[in-house]
Amino acid sequence: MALRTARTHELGGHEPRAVQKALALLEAVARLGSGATAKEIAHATSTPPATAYRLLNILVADGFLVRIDDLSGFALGRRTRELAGAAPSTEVDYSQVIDTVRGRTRFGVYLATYAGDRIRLLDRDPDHELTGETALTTHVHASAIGKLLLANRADGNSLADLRKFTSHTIVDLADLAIELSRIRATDVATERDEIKMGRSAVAVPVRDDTGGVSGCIAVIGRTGRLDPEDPELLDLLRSSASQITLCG
Amino acid sequence: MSALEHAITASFAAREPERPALSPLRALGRRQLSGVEVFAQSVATTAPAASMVILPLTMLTHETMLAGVLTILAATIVVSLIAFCVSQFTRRFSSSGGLYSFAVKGSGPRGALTVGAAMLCKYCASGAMTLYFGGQAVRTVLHELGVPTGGILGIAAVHGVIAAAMLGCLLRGVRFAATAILVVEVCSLLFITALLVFPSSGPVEIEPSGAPNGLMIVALGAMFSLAGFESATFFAPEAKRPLVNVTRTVLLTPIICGALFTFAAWAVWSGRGGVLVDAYQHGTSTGIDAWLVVALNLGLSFSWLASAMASSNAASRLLYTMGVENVVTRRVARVHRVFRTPHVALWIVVGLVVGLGSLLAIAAGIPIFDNFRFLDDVRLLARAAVIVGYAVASVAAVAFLRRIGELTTPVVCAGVLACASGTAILANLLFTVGVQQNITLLVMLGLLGASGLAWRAVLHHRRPRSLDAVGVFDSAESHDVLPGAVTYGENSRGAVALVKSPASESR
Repeated sequence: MALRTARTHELGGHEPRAVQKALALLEAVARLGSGATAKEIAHATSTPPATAYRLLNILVADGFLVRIDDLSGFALGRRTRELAGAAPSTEVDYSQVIDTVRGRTRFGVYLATYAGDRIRLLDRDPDHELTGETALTTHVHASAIGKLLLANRADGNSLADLRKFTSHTIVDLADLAIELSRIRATDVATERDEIKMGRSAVAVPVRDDTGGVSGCIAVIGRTGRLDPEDPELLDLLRSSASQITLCG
Repeated sequence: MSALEHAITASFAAREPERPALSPLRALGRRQLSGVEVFAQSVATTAPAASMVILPLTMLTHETMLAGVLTILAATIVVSLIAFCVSQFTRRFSSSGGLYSFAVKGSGPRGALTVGAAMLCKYCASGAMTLYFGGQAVRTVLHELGVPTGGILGIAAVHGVIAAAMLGCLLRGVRFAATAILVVEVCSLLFITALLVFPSSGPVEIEPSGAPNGLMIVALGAMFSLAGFESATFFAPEAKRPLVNVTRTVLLTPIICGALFTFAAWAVWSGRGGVLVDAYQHGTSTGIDAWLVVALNLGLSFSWLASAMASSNAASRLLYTMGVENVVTRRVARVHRVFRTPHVALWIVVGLVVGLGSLLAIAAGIPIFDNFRFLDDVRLLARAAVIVGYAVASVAAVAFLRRIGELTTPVVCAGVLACASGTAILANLLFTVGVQQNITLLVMLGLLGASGLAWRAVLHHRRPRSLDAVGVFDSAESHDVLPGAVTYGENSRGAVALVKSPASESR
């Protein structure tokens, strides 16, 4: 990640390590989650407590961190965005694109990223409840989103345990290989009752600047109502996905 | 890809919550005051220019020159310790309730309500006293210029004009008020410093008081001259970069004011302050030029009036905070739509300060009243109140840091030392009052001590919900946080707030 250090020089040029420490503290807060206490953060970064408290207070004063309501813990502040090398102006506001898709279909629309070869949902549909999100992100062979990831990262992924969720789950490695090559050919991943009975889904890839697949837009709905091969829906998803660039 | 990068990437797609978290103090004009303006508020409250004349005078009357200078240094260190404890709060959150809000976070509503009552007393009493002194100095100036200001009518007219000017400045907006305070304070400091370096024409003639505990009086005088350094904490929500600027002010004010007092003490000790002392004590009667007396009194009145203004301003924010919490009527929490100042609270406070100040002035003009006792009572009340506030805040700092798990050894040491010295001074004060058998003051101090308990009991019966709301501060808003990186929940007031995420709770 490219870092602009112009802001952090305020920590004191005579203490260059303070900048590193401050970034480590931010990283620790991101990892520990909202409400991590100063002690936990100091422990996670192996910083002496007094130093950690001092730096945390500076980061709060400058808006890189905020204190939660009972003052005992920290959360990331909006200014952390300024640390990101990718300037926000070049990033399309995903939520607008996704909202347009949501306006034109009655199924749940989701945006997922494949950063770090893991599935993370960036934007969940607020009007549709998604059950079994953990299964979706861990058992990649059983969903459209997961299979699209596998199809594009075939080399590094060794799949030993293909858990059978339903009778439609692909549990045979050979069958899965055929499915993945089909996905690579069509650039669309579909799913019918594979992770959960009564659930169907379709996922189209979202690419990064270099053209590599870095995420997907997925539509999830009830089997029978949602047709994963509906050409109109696929056109909508493909045109929307082309408007988004996700950094890998 | 790091967790931080993930969070930042995800934030562009995350949606804002439907009910965003908002600061309860957002009605005030936030993020307006610069560092210098915040600093002016604190320095003006301590009225350094006036103390630079009064303190050396105290040293002269008690014949404690070298010891006096050292005592002032020691008093500065003790007050700096208290400031260090207070800065533990100002580093971590900003609130318009000052020490009152800090006490809530450390010692709960009971202690906080005592501190709240004490600080209201302190600011109103010192506001009234400084207004009285300021009014007197203004009248001296007018007298020298040949304008008659004697009698109750003269007092009422002078105080009326001062009150109108003060209220106008304070209502006009926090920046306007701070700039006005800053200008007035700088003028007075320049006047007094210039007079101090003026070489003396003859030896200073002053009658020694012969009091046995002269050093003690100088020490207390210095300590209470530094009291008020915390008044910037009331303006944190209205300051830019509050956690940095207010902390800096709280730590620097006692040091800078202490240095000014030491300078003044040194100047008088080395025989430079003769002109100043003579002009202050005897006016034109010792053959000093009239313009010098006028200049000195102008400087003094500026310093005192700036202090009265700053005190009223601070008290208004405290009252406003209590109104927001519904601890007092919500009406005082009304904020002017254009100027963003709590106008109802300001009217009440300025009314109280000017009323009490005028009462002091009128009592001083009528010989039947034992007026010196009256003024001394108000001064002692203010001193006791501020010491109660400081002692509780010092202990609260330790308790607060322990609760949030950020306690360090220096804070514990400072807290214990500050609280011990506070208790010692309070004991000394009570002893003095007890020896004097001043029943009025004893009753007043008793009422002050019991106020927290009584207030809490009343609230418990009348408005139990307001007790949960005690301790509002300028909490982080949804706009301040990285979207998607925080968990929202409900706080004790039932408002949307940032809470610990369930995942980090389980650790």
